[in-house]
Amino acid sequence: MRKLALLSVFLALPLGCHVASPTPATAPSIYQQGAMAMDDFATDLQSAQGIELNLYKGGVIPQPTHVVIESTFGQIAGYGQQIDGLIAATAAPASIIAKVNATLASLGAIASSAANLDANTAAQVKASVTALQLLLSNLIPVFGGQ
Amino acid sequence: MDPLAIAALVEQLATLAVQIYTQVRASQLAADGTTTLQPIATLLADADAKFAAIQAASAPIDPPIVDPDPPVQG
Repeated sequence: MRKLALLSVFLALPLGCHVASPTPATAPSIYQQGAMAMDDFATDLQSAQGIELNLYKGGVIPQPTHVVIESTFGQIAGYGQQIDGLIAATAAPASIIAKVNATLASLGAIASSAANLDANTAAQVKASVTALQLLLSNLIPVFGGQ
Repeated sequence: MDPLAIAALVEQLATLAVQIYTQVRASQLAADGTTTLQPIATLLADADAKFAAIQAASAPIDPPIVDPDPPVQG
């Protein structure tokens, strides 16, 4: 089919026929871009939680810190659902940015909790959280924030 | 309640919250929602059971009510 289309272009050009150029793909809207970024966020959130759970099971994260970090992961999952809802409803960008900032604050809290751990463990927790922070930080300018 | 048990329940609930979040997203993205609706239903049922366990574990155990003046039978 593709070869046939190319052939017809070659045949048409020497005859001076007008060949319609393919319509350019429309750029995704800010909401589509947001939804795509949140897909990655959801997957990475689950991975980050898995890393913390493994570290706790390995005995390098004390129980009180584990409880704080896990509670915050649960809170972030709730924020994620809220951001999805706002994007699906094409809500005002400012509302989405506010919720993204709340999520960033929670991620920052996890990084702070990890500060008391040994250097290697803290680095692993912070690396998983940093990936999530980066994803969300990139979302803010998409919705017109800074 | 035992702090270790609380930690385990917090962990289970947080894991469920993240799982539900990711599973619901997956079902919204899937063209055929029927393939992912079942895991969500399973997760929600699991969450219900865990909430019930927490309520049962955290509810104060009331002493049995003893009637100080029971009716005399006979």
